[in-house]
Parts: sequence; C-alpha cells; structure tokens
Amino acid sequence: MSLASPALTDSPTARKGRIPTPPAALIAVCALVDLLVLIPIGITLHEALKDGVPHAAHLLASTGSWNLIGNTVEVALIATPLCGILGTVEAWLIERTAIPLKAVWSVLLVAPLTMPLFVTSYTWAHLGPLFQGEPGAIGIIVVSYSPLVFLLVSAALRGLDHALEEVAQSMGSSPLKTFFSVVLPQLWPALLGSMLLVGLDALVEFDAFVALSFQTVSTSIYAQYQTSFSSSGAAVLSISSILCCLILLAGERLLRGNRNYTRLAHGALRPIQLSPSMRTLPIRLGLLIIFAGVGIALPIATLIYWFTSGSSLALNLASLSIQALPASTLTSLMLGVSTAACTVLLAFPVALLITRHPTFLANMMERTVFLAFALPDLVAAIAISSGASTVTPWLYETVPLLIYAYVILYIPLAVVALRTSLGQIEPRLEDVARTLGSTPLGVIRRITIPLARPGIGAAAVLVFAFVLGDLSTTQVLSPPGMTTLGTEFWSNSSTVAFAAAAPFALALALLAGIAAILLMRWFGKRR
Amino acid sequence: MTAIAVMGILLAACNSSAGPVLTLYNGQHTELTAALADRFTAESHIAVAIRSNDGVVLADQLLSEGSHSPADVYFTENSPELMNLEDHHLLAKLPARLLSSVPSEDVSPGGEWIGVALRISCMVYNPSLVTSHNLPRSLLDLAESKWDGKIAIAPTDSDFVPLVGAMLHADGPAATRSWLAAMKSHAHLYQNDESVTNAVNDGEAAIGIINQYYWYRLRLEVGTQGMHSSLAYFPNHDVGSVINISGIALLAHAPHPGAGLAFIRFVVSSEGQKMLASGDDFEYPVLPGVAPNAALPPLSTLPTDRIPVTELGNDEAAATLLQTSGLS
Amino acid sequence: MSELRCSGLTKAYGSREVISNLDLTVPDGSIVAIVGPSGSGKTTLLRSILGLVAIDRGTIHLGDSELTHGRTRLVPPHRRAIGYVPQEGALFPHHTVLENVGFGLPRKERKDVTRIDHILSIVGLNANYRNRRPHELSGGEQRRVALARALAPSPSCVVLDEPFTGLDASLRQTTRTAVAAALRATHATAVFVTHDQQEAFSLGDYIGILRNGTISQFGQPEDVYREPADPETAQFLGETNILTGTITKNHANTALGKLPILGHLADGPAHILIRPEQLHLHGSARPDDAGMQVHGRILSITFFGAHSLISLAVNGIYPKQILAHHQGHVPWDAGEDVFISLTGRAACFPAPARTPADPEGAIGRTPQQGG
Repeated sequence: MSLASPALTDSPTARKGRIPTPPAALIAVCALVDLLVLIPIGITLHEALKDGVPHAAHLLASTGSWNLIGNTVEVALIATPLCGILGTVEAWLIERTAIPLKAVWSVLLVAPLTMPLFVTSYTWAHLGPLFQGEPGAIGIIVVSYSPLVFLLVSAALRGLDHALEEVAQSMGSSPLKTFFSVVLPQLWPALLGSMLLVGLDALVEFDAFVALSFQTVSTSIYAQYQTSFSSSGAAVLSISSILCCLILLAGERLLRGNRNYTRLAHGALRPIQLSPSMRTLPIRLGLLIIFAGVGIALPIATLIYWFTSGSSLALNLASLSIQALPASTLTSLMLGVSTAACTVLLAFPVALLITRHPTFLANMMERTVFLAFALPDLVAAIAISSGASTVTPWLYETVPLLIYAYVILYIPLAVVALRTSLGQIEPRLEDVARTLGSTPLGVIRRITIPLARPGIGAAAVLVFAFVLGDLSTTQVLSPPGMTTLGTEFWSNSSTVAFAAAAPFALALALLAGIAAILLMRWFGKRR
Repeated sequence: MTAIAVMGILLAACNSSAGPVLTLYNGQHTELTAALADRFTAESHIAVAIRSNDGVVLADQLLSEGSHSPADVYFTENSPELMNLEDHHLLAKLPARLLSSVPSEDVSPGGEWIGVALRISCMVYNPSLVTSHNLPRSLLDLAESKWDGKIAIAPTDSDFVPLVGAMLHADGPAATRSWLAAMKSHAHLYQNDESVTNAVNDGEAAIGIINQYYWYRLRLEVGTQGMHSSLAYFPNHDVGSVINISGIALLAHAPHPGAGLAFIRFVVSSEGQKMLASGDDFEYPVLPGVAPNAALPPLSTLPTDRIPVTELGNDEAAATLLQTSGLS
Repeated sequence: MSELRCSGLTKAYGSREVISNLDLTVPDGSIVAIVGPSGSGKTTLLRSILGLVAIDRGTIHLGDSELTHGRTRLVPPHRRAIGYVPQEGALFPHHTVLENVGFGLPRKERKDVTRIDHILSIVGLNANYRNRRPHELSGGEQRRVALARALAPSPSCVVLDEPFTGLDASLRQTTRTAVAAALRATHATAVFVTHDQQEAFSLGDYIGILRNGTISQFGQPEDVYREPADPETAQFLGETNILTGTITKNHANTALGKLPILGHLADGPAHILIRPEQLHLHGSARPDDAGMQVHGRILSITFFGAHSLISLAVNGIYPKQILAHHQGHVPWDAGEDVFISLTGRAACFPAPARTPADPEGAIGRTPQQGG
C-alpha cells in the first residue's frame, strides 16, 4: 500500500500553522502501536473492575493508598524539576562553556541512565541510611534520569541559533538573564518532553524504591500480591497510577502550550565561539566531577569493592557464578538488540506522524504511547502473562512475547529520541525528493531514514540499555530456564552472595558504558 | 532489512535453547534449586526449565495463569503462598506415602504440598552495641521505649509476615497492632533480611529480626573476620521463635504430572535432602535422619514455639494488619 | 508542448484564502517571474504546481496533461516531472554533488559520470565539484547544484523558489546569469517566485504580480513597470510619486507640471503616477521651458552610488514629499531650493470620489524588502 492516497500528498512542512493531513496508512500503523500499548492497561482495568466499581473503590480506600499516592506524587513532584534543573545545567556546561575533554564528560554524564537502576539502587542501599527512604528515592531518580534531560536539552541547545543569545547579550543582558529570556523559552519543548518521561518513570519505578525501602503505589503493589493473593488488589492500585499518568500527560500538554516538537528548519548554524573563562572553570569542573562521581563512580566503586573484598569462600562461589556469565551476557545482548530493533521499527511511524502531521489526532495517538509508562512493570508483566496464557498460549513463555512486553514498556523513549531527530530534518529535503520522482516510501528510505540515523541509533541504544536494566518483566515473562545478566544478578544478590553478583553487575555496567558512548556518538553529534 | 534478518536469527537462537520437559516455578534460592535440578536431570534424564522470581509474585502469576499455567511444580520459601494456592484449588494432592515420609507438622493439612526445608526466626545483634544478657526476652519486649532507634526490621520481607501471624494468633489483634505501631516509630526499616543482617553487622542497629540462615550466609560471604555480630534465639514458647517452612507442590493442571512428582520425590529424598544440608543454604532439612549443615546448631537444641501451619494459614490477616500499620 | 496553465486556483487554510481564483499561463519555454510581497501566496502557488499542496478549486495543466483538478484529481509530486529548486538550494546533506544531481535519475543512470558532468557544465560547474559535499560549497554553488539536480531528469517545467535569496551582491549577479543561461539552454518552461523586483525584471521573460492570492497583472517586465495595473502594483514595483491631478485631453495636470499620459483616460480627476527618474532637478530655471517648471526644497539626499534619491518638499503639493532620482554627483545640499522638470509619460488611474485617507500610502515609498 502506498503511504499516500492522491488526496493526501500534502507536504511534510508544518510551517505557518498549516498542518497537512496524515496519510491513512500511517494512521493505521500508529493505531496498531497504540493498541499494543493499551492491551495490558485494558487487561489491568478489566481485572480491577471485574467485581464492580464500588468494590474497586472500597479496595482502593481500604489499602491506605492515599498515603502511598501522596508518597508517589511527592517523589515525582520533587525529583522531576530537580532532574530538569540538573540536566539543563549539565547541558549548558557541555554545550555553552569551554570544558576540556568534553566528549569524556558527556559520556560520564549519560552513563547513569544506561546503568541498570536495580544495580545502582542496590549499591545505594548498602551505602547507609542517607541513601535510603525518601531522600534516596528522590536522589536515585534525579541521578539516574537527569541524563535523559541532559541528552534532549543539549540536543536542543545545539539546534538553537546562537545569534539570538549574542544579540541579547549585546543589548546588555547578563548571561543569566539571556538564558531565562532567550534560551529557556526555546528549550521548553525539549525540557518538558524529557521531564515528562522522568515524571512518568518516577511514578511507576519499582526495583529502585524496593531496594531503598521507599513505599510508593508501585512498591505496595507487591504487598497487595502478598495480602490478597490476587491481582485485583494490585490492579485497583494501578488505577491510581494510570490516573497520575493521565494528569501528567495533560499537565505537560498544558505547560507546553502551542509549542511543537517540530522545529522550523534553518540553514547551517555557525559554530559557537566559547569564551574560555578560566575564573569559573574550577567551579564548572567541580560540578561535573560531583555529577559523574555520584552518578557513575559511586556504584562502580561499590561493585568493585564487593568483588574484591569477599571472603575466599565467597570468591570461590563467585568464580563458579562467572561460568554463567557468557551465556547470560549473550542472552541479554540478544534480547536487547532484538527489542531495540522492534521498538525503533514501531516507534518510527509514531514519531513520523507527530513531526510531519501534528494534527489533534496525531497528538492523541502519540500521547497514547506514553501510557506505556502508566503501569508499574510488574503489573504490566502480570497482565500480559494472564492475557497470553489464556488467549494465546502458543505465544506464552516465548521470547517474542517477552520482546513485545519490552517494546511497549520502552517505546516512549524511542519515540522521544526519534521525534527529536525527525524534527531536525529540513522538510524541504523531503519535498525535493518527491519532485525528483521518489514515492512517499522512497522518500522515507532515501532521505528520512539516512538523515534520522543519529536519532535511530540513539533510540535503539536507549531501549537496549533499558532492556538490560529490566528485571520484573524478564522474571515474569521469559521462557523458563532463560537467564539474563539481570536475573543472575538478582539471584545472587538476594542470597547475600555479593561477590558472586558483582561480575554480572560489572558486565551490565560495562555494557551500559558502551551504550553511553554510542548514545553520545550518535545523539551528541554536533550538527 | 539486515537488522530484521539478524533479529530473526537471534530470536530463533533464543527459542532453540528451550524445549525442556519439566517446568519449575522457583521462589527458593536459585543456586540451591539449580543444583537440585541438575542432579535430578542427571539421574532421570528429565530436563528442568526453571523460572525464578519472588515466591509471592510467582504465586500470583500462577493464580492469573490458572488452568493455562505451563508450570508443573512450584517451590517456594514460605508456606503461606502454598496455602493460598491450595485454597484456590490449584494444587494436586500428593501421595500419602510421600507425605508421611516427613513429620506431619511439615506438610499441608490438606495434603497438597510438602515441606522441604525449615528455618527459624531469631535476633542478630551487634555485641559492641548490646551485650548478650541485655537482649530482650521476647519479641514483644522490642516495643519498649529503650529500644527506640536500635532495632532493624524488614517488614516487607516475606519472612516477617509469619511473625505477625504468630503474634496475632497468640496475643490477639489489639496487642499486635500496638506492637506494630511501636515498630513503626522505633525501628529502622530495611528492604529484606539480608539488609537487616548487614545493617546490624555494620553497627547501624543493635538488634535485627531475621531468619537464622541469613547470618550464616553473610559469614560465608565476608568471612569470620568480617563478622561483628552474633545470633541469639528467643526463648521457648515466644512468638519470636517461628519456624518457616519452605515447601514444594505439584500443580493441579501440570502438563507433566509424572515428571513433576518425580522431582518432588527427589527433593525430599535423602539424596536431595543431603544436598540441601551440605550446600550453602543453611536451612534445616525436613527429612528425619538427615543432619543439617555442620555450621548450624541441631534443630532440637533450638527454642521453638511451633504454631501449626494451618493456624498461620495464608497470612492474609497478618499481612493486612501489617499494611494498615503503614509498615508495608 | 509544455505550457503551464493554472486556472481558477483557490486554496484556503481555515477561513483564510491564500490563493483566490488565480489564473496564470506560462508560455512554453519561457521564464516567468512571479513577484509579490510576503504573504501574497507565492509559496502556496509553487507548492500547488508541484503537487505538494492540494488545492480546493481550479485546474493545473502542463502541456496536454491535467495535473490537478480541484479536489478530485491530484497527480502526486513524484509523477509530475516538474523540477523544483527550493530556497537556499536544500541539497541533500548526506549525498555528494554527484549523488544529489543523480538523485532523480533512474537507478542505472545515477552513477553515469559523463551525464552528470554534462549537467553540471550546463549550470557552469566543472567536474571537480562532482565529489564534494554540500557543506563544502559556497551559497552560489549550492544554488547551481540544486538547479542541476532539478534539471537532471529533463523536466519540461522547472519551479524555483526565491533562488537567489541570501547571496551577496556579486555572487547573486553571477549565479543569476548562470541560472538564466542554464534555463535557456534546456528550453525548460520555468516559473520562479521572488519578492525582489530587480530579480524579476532582469530574469523573467514575463512577470506576474501576485497580490492577495491572485495575479493582478501579467506582462513583459518593461510594460508592467511602465504601465502598472493599479497604484499599489506601481508602488510595489519601485519608488513612485502618486499625485492627484486632473486629466484633460490625454494630458495630466499636476502641481509638478503637465505630462502626456499613457493609454487613455476620460477627462476628470485622477491619480497620476510619476517615477522618480522622470523628475529632473536644476539649479536655476530653464528659460526655454518656463511653463513646466516648479520650485522645490531638498529635504534629504540618499546616496546610492550611480544615482542618488532626493526627497523634496514642493509648495502646494499634497503629499508633502516627492522623490526624484539624480544621476551622478549631486551639486546641492539639503535645504537648498531647486527647480523641477518632468519627462516621459505618466500612468494614471481614475481617482476615487474622496481623497486618500492614508497620507503615507499616497507618498513615494521604497519597495518592500525582506521575506
């Protein structure tokens, strides 16, 4: 099927508020993606409401969940703006000030994002009370997710015309005032978009909060399984998490106003002349050292300490566990690569729709993808397990089903990375290609995909890293007998075999580091 | 296109590793289960595919799968999950001969699951913070204000619920509620018993409530020179001395009931029980005549207040109380 | 036969009509410049011709084939065979010059170096450019490659969008010459839009004035300049003095003097259009032509190199300032009085019943610049 029916060949340009009608085929593909995302939510809602709304309301009231919802919202409300500020400061330091070894710093700043959260949180949990409870919960969200803000805001900063800042400064505006009056308004869509992801993640974070003994809606869902031994209690609690998610999505839309993620194309940007201020360099370097130190050096150092300080017996056990390392590394890699490929494939049409045809419908369809973050991983995994075991038993406990679960859990990350990249492609390039005889699909193949390559790479690497860092979904949906680096780490760490767990964590950290380097190479490319 | 082709190959590779005969849902320590399964496979030529997760989550997964579950056998650390599955008619009755091979208090009253290993709740304490003769005489005494800020507990660990259940059974809801309230204000809360053991060993708290085997595992991990803590048991007949049963069951809808039963027989056979005792698990085998790990004191020397597992039931009342207290 | 015909084109975005019942015929092989202020619908017109925008009503024909018929028929852009040179060239940044130029060719011909070298030579570039990347080219070279890319598939019609915007003066001139030569060499029918009158005059065989979504005037450049269809068009095409006066016997009587008119207009009140170059300034009255002499005071002098633009206050004239060109050195200073004489013919339009309410709109005005 051609992507363009005759009446729908309108241009990808979204200039001057003229919004071209999206082709029906593109809408259909995106609708399919939305449907895939909505399936577990549907199953969960069905489970929650199967005994009627009053019963669900009663359950919700009786679990003391107001306190939990309060906790959850509090962490999201505190951690999200902190991430926004931290990520923007990091982006500013890297993109707008003269710093030696920029490439290295960029990778170190991104690495906490690709590092599996259950590893980071597990090391934090052993660092003492300061890193636990609410401060720990807020801290780990800020440390692990501010790189997301850093990535997207620095990409936006690179795309900004520096001339505007120079004009403002030449008119006597101080650098700080210039930032707030000229730069920030233009960064707003990228900043809000990344903060939305952080907020949604904070709402449903499970592994990290369990490790840090902080109770939120998603951690109490585990207690629900324990008390009622039925998923309906957990499903009812999930309703509150779905509602929080919807409120966040609406809030972001409201704050963003009419600003779109797409951006007007402009000619080549002049390279920026950075004035090397030696006076503030120690402060700036100091900040970077703190960010990278807490984010990446701390967990790695803890892991190495575990690995080297165990008793000889423990090290003996550890050397046994290392035998499982190659197989589980291979499984993790295969799962990560296949999921990344599938996710990018499905996220691409959604990102194309929202950047090329930003109609109301397109907005709604893109928003729907973000509902993937509405359910805690464990609830989503149990919902998929319950649906698949009864409806599609032939698919149950297979790798494709596991990959499906991963895809819908992490597709928002891919959409955001692709959206940024697709929005930066000069729309007229696609127009010219059409007039030179390329069909709409030909344009995607010959122009859009080659030019969106940095975004495609970044999306794939992000998803890959998050798959490595997944535990709940893998444990519920993987075929029995399959072990990944994550499940091996969990098996050993939950039996106090820290030294035996450490090699898996270090392997994860190594892969995370490689992912961070690739991410910066592709997404951090200077245009 | 290349990417899709590569993906296809990878998927095929992932799937080809499957194809086992017996599916085991495992909530026990993976290392122990893997060792048992390996030996079983070597002897019976029945391959075992293991899904490991938290026992509670696995139980819920079994419930949501219902009769469609691909699982044959469920092996877990605590009896309440087993009681619950039995209540939901998801377990198969085990042969009487098998059940009678272990003491009757270690099997389901309904005969649908059998105990595999035992462990006992106790205190871990840091001698530099509290001397052994100053230790509380009862779990209930921890509510006294002198312990404010000195206790470490893990209320979300599945080993904690049976303590609350025992207290509820012995002292009633009012006393239990006020004890939980005291814990909420007194105690440092940790994620699980491992963290509690670590915390006491590191001097973050004077006393921690754990199951005894975590202390031995920590000693194995850090070596004797790394231990700055000791174990102490509550007196006989105290609610603090609860025995937790790790048990195993055959699913009612098991696709391979014969193989499943064979595995269960193996686990409670003297061979399986000896493997358990000689490993690094530090649990007590249920089979009479099999000696526990040499590092452990004999079970008979330990103070116990055996509350029948039927009385503890599926823990729902205790867990609900725990939740309303704000501890979990 | 590749005459391009648009008739009755209408396109609205929401309630705003951007193109209103537009008719345009571009004769086969000719270059037509569409000139209009920003917001006049230039880009929408181009995109409709290319098939990138679906119109609401009207038809577009290229030669014998119907490309667009209202909402019922829309040949997609890739089947129109109309070349497109966008603003600033918009070369594919991930391709070399060779790949850019070969983009629209059938797969087998894309690497045909001799063919692509030939196309490059048409736009005045030699074979050394073949392997360069777009960012290694100057602005002018980028435009030429963009034209080569559009011409490569031998389209019967080429559409150019502001092809010389953003180039500096010297580059603009050479690029313009090269583009004109290339278009002539390939005999392609060409339409280009611009907001720059100079560009339109110098490059177009015909120019079309696009105002408020419709072609308000179409003709050869000199005719349009000399005989604009209305005062607004006149102002858009260059600095102009519009005076009120009366017509008697095909002569315009204004406060500046009397001039024969272009065309015919019935006797009566009229707006009379006099270009600054029709005014001549003298230091003293010329005795031979006393009847046509008026006296004015210089308000300001703007130096443009070859000529200067002088604004004057003339007694009894509303509007109060008039504009004159003076070739070469200006021997006066602001504040001095000079005598004014007129040459040539004046275009004139019947005056509306009342005098223009907007005095600014009636005085000589510099044509609009910028996008």
